Amino acid sequence: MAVHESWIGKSLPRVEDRALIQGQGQYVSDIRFDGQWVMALVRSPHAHARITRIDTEAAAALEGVHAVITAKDMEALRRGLPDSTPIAPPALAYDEVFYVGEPVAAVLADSRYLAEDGADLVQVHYEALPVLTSAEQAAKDEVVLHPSVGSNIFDAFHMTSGDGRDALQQADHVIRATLQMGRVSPQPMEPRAIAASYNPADGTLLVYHATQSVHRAQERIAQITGLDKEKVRVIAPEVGGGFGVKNGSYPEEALVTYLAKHFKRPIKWAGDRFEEFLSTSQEREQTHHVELGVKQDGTIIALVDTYYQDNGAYPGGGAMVSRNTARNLPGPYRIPHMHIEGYTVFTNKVAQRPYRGAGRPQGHYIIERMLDRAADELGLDRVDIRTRNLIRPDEFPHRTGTDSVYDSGDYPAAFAELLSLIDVPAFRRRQREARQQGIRLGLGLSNSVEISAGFGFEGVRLTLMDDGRVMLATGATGQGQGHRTALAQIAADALHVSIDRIMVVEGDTARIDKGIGTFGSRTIIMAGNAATMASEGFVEKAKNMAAQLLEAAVDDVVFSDGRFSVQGVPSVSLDWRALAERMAEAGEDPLTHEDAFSSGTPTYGFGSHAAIVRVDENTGETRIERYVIIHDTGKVVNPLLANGQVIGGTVQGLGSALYEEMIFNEDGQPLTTSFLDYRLPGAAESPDIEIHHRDYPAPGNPAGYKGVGEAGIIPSQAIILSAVEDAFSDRRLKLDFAPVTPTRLFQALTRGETE
Amino acid sequence: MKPPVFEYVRPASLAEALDALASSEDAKVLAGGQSLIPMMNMRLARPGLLVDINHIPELTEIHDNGDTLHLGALVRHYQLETDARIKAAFPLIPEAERLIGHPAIRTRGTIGGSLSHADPAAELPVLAMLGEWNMTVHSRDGGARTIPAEEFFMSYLMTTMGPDELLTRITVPKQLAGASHIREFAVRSGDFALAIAAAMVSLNGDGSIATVRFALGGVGDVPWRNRELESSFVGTMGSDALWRDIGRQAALAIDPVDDMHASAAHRRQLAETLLTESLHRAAEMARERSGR
Amino acid sequence: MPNITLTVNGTQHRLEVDPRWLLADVLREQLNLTGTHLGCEQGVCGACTILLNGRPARSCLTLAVTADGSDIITVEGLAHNGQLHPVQEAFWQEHALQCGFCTPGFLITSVHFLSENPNPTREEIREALSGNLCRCTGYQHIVNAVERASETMRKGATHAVPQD
Repeated sequence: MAVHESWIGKSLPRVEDRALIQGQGQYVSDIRFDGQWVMALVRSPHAHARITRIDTEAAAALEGVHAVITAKDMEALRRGLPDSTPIAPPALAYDEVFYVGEPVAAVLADSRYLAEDGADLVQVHYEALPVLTSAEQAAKDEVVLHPSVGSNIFDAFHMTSGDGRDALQQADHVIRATLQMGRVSPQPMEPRAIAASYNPADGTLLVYHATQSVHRAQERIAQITGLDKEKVRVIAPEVGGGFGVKNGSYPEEALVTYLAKHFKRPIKWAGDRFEEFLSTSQEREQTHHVELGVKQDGTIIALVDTYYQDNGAYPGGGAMVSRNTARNLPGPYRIPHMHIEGYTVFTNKVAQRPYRGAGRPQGHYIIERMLDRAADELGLDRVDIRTRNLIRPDEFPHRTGTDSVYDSGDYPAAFAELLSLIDVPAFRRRQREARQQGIRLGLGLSNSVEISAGFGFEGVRLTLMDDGRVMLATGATGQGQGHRTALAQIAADALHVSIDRIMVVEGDTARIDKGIGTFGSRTIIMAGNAATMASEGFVEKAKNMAAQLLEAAVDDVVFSDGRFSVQGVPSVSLDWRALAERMAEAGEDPLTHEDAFSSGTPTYGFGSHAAIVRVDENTGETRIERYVIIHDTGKVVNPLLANGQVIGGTVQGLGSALYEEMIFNEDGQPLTTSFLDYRLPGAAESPDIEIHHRDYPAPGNPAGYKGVGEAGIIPSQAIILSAVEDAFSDRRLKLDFAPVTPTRLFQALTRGETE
Repeated sequence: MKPPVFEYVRPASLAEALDALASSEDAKVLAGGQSLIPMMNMRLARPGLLVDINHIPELTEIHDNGDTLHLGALVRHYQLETDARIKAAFPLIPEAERLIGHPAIRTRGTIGGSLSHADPAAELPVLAMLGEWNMTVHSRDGGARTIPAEEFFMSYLMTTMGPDELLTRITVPKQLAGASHIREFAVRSGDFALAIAAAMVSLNGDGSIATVRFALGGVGDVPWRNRELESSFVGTMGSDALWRDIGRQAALAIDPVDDMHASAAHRRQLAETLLTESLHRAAEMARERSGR
Repeated sequence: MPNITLTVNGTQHRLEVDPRWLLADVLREQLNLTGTHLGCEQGVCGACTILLNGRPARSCLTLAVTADGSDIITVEGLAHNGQLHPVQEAFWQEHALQCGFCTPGFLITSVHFLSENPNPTREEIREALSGNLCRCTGYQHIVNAVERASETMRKGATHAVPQD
């Protein structure tokens, strides 16, 4: 038995950080190829229009501008981008534009300054077409944006469990509401970026890409450029946040890689913040028409929900968000009967694609808000209605009716613990007293299940380096999560070494042939288990090698405490370094082993959140006084990093609950296209968050890991609206729209929306 | 987001700067650049000639003139925030400065730039109206002239300065009596305010109002002040009810518009709330100051 | 093109710059100091914050040409002789960064803030950091780090070498 200490479970500071805190991290925008051309794009100023003419002569004549490309110039740029059904956007619009910000022409120049000068001089003539800015209006198909699809509704599904809609008749009360979520722009701090260099001598293309999945990018780029996949190397260097929107295909990926090969010139595009607002996918925008059937005592009988997702001009990945919304509608509550209809609809906005949460926040928003409504209408306590309907541990495995089988944890216990931490009766007293002084306090509560992973695979390749360190390569491509530390902790335990003997390389197709990527809170579950599996195979191979070098039978070689020794001859042993040296001396190829973990079983983490807000009735301002989380992370690799994920996700969610909303005018013009108008939460607005762990290892994977990346963001919109309503419970305030910005709250309070 | 091409000059004296401004139809003055450069980065501003006045020493002076303080147009926000002479002369300036942007913005931004930019939702224009500051502007052909604050702000981001004129000096009358206070509501710390209220109150020995001034920002094209309304309260006994009444009357007198950040009605309510609080606090301080 | 002199992290540079080039771009592209990041080019996010003559400034809102003669410190200039600045050390220990893109701006802002306010409350720290946006951390660990750095710096103790 090994005597080495366990790295898993330790709150280690990250191995990533020494470079990052000294400004030595290399992001795509920091890459400079010799002789590179920089790209700027001419983007559509119209939400829907026909392109009648493009004049590029003046731009092309500008000194320092090397090329101005339109879709007319290159057939390949008119083709639909990979990975998009039932319709794909072209790299450059050639006939019609469908959203403000759609690329129409590309300018290649010596610097970004000159490229923007060129873009200024490109004249595009448009003929305006009717604009669709509302999903429900678009669903009527009075104008069909993509005739080849036949309808603006490009994804429609129905899901029924139990007796479906008919079950409403068994209910004592049916609560009805229309609930909405505004459009959110994810806004990682690093805008999207890509740089590519083609080597005509050997026909290879080297791509630095701010992406969440190098292998999927590699496949798309091979398709776009016509190169064999093996000729395309994609490296994700430091990636400055992703949150889902750096996953998948974009026109700029096609333009940079195709043009780099075409011109045999390195090309770089580093998007700016304005482009990030115009052209990077958005999310959350849905309208739900909900009916919740309940018994007099608050027991849920049935949930019936018809919803519309404003998906923007192209599929983007929005159908997955819409379907995942359905899957999350039950949350952690027992709902015997359901009928769900989801419609994902084209409009003239930038496409939606999964953003951190990706349907989880939407589904939970609906059930949590409806429980509040039901409690209020029945005169029940908002706490009690939740307790009554939470799934109990003795019900596991619990089938939700929406394709999930919850398997672990103790939801009522976590919720009860949360309530005692908050001390609800004491809060209610304080709330009453404060109200008498004109101060409005409110309590919001929310329970959530975080469904993570459950599809595909992720691989890990281990290689013994000359100095005895082990390189761990994975296709999972982090964007700041700290996998280089966490995966090293896992491998260090399996290989009985200190974590500084493990070097993790993520996001380089040259280091491992296959991979899926980092999104959906999957990496520790998938690559973490793969790291352990690969380590086992690696040790077996090392034993064989040690047997050969030590001239012993394999069965006699023992691996213990990081050393390979021969049974009964403890004086003769090799550690990893010695093994590497001896192998090198013997002219052996470096020891390497790859394994992958595949699983169709998701993990089901759980969280109970409470927020106490203080609302200024006169200004409409909501401040968070206290935020408490009981959290089930499963088996935890690094508590410091896990907490970082939960806190970061929670605060990101508070943005979409209180401030963040993409506003479009009736012409489809986005009005909130800067950090002044689209407000991310800042340090002064964000609360200190108390996290208490109740961790239940996942039964569905060997190590027991659960997803953690999306846990924090799931309850955000539901809990804050709930808390703000509670602050005005005497006025029976009802909020139907997230975010509840000061001006929206003012309107709700003054427009007679209170009873 | 990179600035378009422009001609650049860096005058070393006021005369050179005025020459440069007179020489071009589309010249712009670069002071702190905290409003101009973002507009140039977005290519919303495309000056043909940029006149960089950052290297003109005479524009940086702070001079105590007895009853007034002269502030050079290049005095930067962080100086306004920390300079003891400024605090003594007009304590509302450092108080307001802490609400302006963030420290990094205050490092570069200047008083002249802020006033010339004439953003009605900015703090210094509101103070200029409240404090009845005088702006001295120079041009090559017109020499110097002085524009009182109430004639300086013309419209949204527009002043009554001519294109060849440069704001060189701001004359701030010292606040001799009473006390003042500023409140604003911004969604996030450091954001542009949805509304700003500043008040200056001095009380007679019996607690009645000797003078009262109040100004609002963010509620119209230009910072708002109404002297007639102010004078109607002189002699009235200061009280919470009075501050509420003034807040209400001011809110009725303004004419805000809807935009994506706030509805007109919301802005009206903010103005009322902030002004009431501002008057209340200023009066409280005035009472403390008068030594009771 | 005008010639200017910039002293960056203690080294004087004579540079020929296009007048329209932002200081951030000159630092990044002419001096290869890519630790200063461009996050919004509008002065809001703070990723490009540097010390300009000892005070924090947005290098995206400053033309290089107008900074002629200035003394500049970038994130690359915080550590000395391989010894991390206590603020850097604290960011590391407290897990105050995830993707790291905003981090240089936070470090510079924090270093300046602590020089003016060596013993801040959490609320003061949050206010001081309000001009820097972070999308990953939720700020809490950054506030922890600034608190920790203030303690270290007040004690004047040399900081511990992190476990790595």
